[in-house]
Amino acid sequence: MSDPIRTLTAGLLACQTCGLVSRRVPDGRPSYCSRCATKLHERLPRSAENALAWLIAAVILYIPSNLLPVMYVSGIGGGQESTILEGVLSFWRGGDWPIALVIFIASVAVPATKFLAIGLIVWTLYRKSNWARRQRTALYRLVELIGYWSMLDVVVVALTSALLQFEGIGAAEPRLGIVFFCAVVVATMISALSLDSRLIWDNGAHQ
Amino acid sequence: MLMPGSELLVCPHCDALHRPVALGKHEMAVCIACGHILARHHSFTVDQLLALTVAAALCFLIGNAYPLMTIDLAGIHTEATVWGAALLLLHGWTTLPGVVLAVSMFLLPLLQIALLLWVLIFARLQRRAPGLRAALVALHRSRPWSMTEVFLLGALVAIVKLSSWLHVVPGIGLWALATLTILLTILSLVESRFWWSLEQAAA
Amino acid sequence: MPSLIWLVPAAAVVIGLSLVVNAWVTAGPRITIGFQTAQGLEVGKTLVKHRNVTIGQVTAISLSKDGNHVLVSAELLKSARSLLTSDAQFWVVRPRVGIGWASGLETLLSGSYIAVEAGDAATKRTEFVGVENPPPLTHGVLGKSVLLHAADVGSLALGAPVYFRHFEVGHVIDRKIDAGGNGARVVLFIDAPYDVLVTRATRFWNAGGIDLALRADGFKLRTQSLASVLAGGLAFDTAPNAQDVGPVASGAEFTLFDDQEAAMAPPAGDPRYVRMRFERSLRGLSVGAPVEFVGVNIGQVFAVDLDYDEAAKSFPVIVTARIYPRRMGKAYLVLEQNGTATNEEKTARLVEQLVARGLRAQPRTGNLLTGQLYIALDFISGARPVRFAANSQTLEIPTVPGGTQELQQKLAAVVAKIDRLPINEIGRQLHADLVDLDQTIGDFRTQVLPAGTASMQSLRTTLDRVNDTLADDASWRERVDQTLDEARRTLQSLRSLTDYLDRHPEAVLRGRHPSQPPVGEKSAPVASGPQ
Repeated sequence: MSDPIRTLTAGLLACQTCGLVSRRVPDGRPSYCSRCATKLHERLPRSAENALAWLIAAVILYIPSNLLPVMYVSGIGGGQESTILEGVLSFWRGGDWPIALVIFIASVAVPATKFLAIGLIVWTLYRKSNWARRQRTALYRLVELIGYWSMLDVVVVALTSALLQFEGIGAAEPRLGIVFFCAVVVATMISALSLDSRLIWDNGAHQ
Repeated sequence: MLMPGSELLVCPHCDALHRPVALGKHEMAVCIACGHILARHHSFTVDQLLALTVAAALCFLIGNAYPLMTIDLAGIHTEATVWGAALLLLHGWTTLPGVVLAVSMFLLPLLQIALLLWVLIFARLQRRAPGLRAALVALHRSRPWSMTEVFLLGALVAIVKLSSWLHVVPGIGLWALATLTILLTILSLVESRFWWSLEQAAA
Repeated sequence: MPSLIWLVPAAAVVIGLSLVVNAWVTAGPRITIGFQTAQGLEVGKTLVKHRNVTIGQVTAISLSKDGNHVLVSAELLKSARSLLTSDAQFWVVRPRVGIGWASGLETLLSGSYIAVEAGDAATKRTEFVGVENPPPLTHGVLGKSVLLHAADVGSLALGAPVYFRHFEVGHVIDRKIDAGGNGARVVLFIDAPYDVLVTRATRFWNAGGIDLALRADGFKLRTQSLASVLAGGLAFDTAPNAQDVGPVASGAEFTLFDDQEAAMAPPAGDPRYVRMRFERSLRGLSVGAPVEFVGVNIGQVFAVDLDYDEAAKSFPVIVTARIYPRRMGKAYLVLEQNGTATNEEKTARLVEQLVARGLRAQPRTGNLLTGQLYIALDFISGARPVRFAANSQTLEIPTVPGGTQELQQKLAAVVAKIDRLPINEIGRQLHADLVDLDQTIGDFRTQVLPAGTASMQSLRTTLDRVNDTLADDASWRERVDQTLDEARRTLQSLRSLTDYLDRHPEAVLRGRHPSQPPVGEKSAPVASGPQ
């Protein structure tokens, strides 16, 4: 496969919003897309840095999101808080292994994958490596694709709490853990959005 | 000097230049460098898209007007809707998830449907919708944050989870939400080039 | 220069750290409690509560090293630190049912929980040994605790009610056997505001169950309430005529009496022991039987023992009685004043004098219905003089057989006499006499009667002749009449003469004076007839 012609190399600039290809004017002034009037960036500014910052924040917040309980279910026999992992385990033990698997994937596997994928990409960007560019871009696409599915647990907690409202018999309510978890999902999404995958192909020319 | 670039396709992931190729049925244009799908063939006309959008709008309305699922326990009846779930989280200190849920699973889909309707209705009328650019930009920006399909899956998980203890009855809203998800997914498959081409729709 | 974007992870770090710090700062004490069993306890679920307020949760359950008990780890709120005194008590609240009460039933639904009750110790600790039964909740509860010494706990269960004038004012919170094994200690808790009723003059008695007394002095049935019938109970009241009614502090000690009478009796004072030796069997005398002195109850039988007299080859009964001299009332006060009561020697000498006057111990029937005996110390007239050993430790009172014994003896004698009567002989004799009589009557009929009839005939004939003789027209009657007339005339003349002589006594000598009428003129005309 021959090296693709890069837009920038060709003196062109593509609008990330509307796709319009414009001629690049490297005069230092910001230029705007003629079609959609959004600011044109050659590359997303400080992409790797921002992505890393959000990633680190997400990783840090991931710890309390797993340690703190996300939901509190109370019945006649008292109440119990449960963390994400405890919820997965209780489903697993209860025989509901499909549910356990779904929640595990959404709440543990996906965020972990995102951490690793974005971390890897950022690291390779810092290293200015040319290694497996296509695969790294595919990895990036994966992150984009699966990114928001981690919100699944938030939805489940919200719906369960909304439904289990039987005074005296049983009730469920969200706990602090879910706030942190939501923050983790948002942070990883912002991190992925900040990451300009084109940089993978830049050979370190545009950091 | 800026050149109109309707002849060139740039891969957003790897910045590779491509010349657009006419696509046949079920054909996709893929980036030569990174494999990203640049374009899909679709034969949707504005009319069809409008119909889809209207259907999506209806589904949205039904999905939010009727409960997704209901539980009856000891004579007490509870039900869940998208907005109800968001509202529950908004109260108390779970404001952040509440906001995220409300925005991503209610407001943004609503916005998307509204904008699409706006654009398509005008397009149907062979006119350029006022604020088309802003609308399309907004559509583009909001796409990654619109998560109705996540809500659908979450609702299914919740049903399965609760049905092991209680008798859960899926409501009409759930079916509407599922249909909405499908419709929005179809609509999202139409690449931005098409939407921007509506700019020239006005006669 | 790093961009502002790094504020984001910085903020994340800050938030994370603040969480950690918050958790660390608000972390309450972690404690370990040893229990016999972990039944009903679940990690992460079982709560620790104080007065029903959740103060912590069980975090781990494990077996002890020796495998004999269970170690339960729990994390408590910071505010609970003050509860962890050295004598704080932990117990598991489970459903418990006893007689007359049930507790912890709500845990059937909500699951067991660990309850804690703080103590008063000054030191604190984090490792505890749980108690298996809920302790009485007295910490912080207003009231007083009272310690009772009792011979046994009778029917008193934990939680048994304490009554004052039939009003429930407290309950039993603890009971244990005395350290020495003689007797028991019962701890009560009297709730405020009734605790002021407990004064130095208060007496406690066992009011539980049904007080059914079948004693030498009668038959009594008493009960306080259904609860006390089931669970036992105590009652108290102020002793009558008590001078000292000062308040008592918590933990004051009292004696538990067996019943209200024993409790309300005037203070018995210190007991003295006397011994008595009875020659005959004392069937019907039980330990606890009353001992009376000239009719006044002064004590009870303490022990009944059998002795063997080698010389006489007999088994006398040794009875030891516990008497309370104070029960003699005023008599005791007098003795106290003149110094006899307190001086053993003087007491012994007094008793010697009493014995010389006839003081004896005698078993008497207290209740004919039950045959129960009691010991009476009384002055028996005609008692045989007895040597009294006045210097022995325990005074030995000489005895006489009991009134019943005399009665028995007399009865025995009567029976013996009756037994000795020759009933057979008498019977035989009587028989013989009756046979004779029969014969006699037969003879009488056959012989005597006919002879008698003949005699009767001759008798009648005789009587007829007599009758004839005595008939009116019989000649001899006429003659009798004549004779009688003559006699009459004679007597008349004689009378006239006597009269004349009376008047004229000289007539006898001179004869009749011519002026005087002739003798007999004055007399009444006589019947015509021959002169």
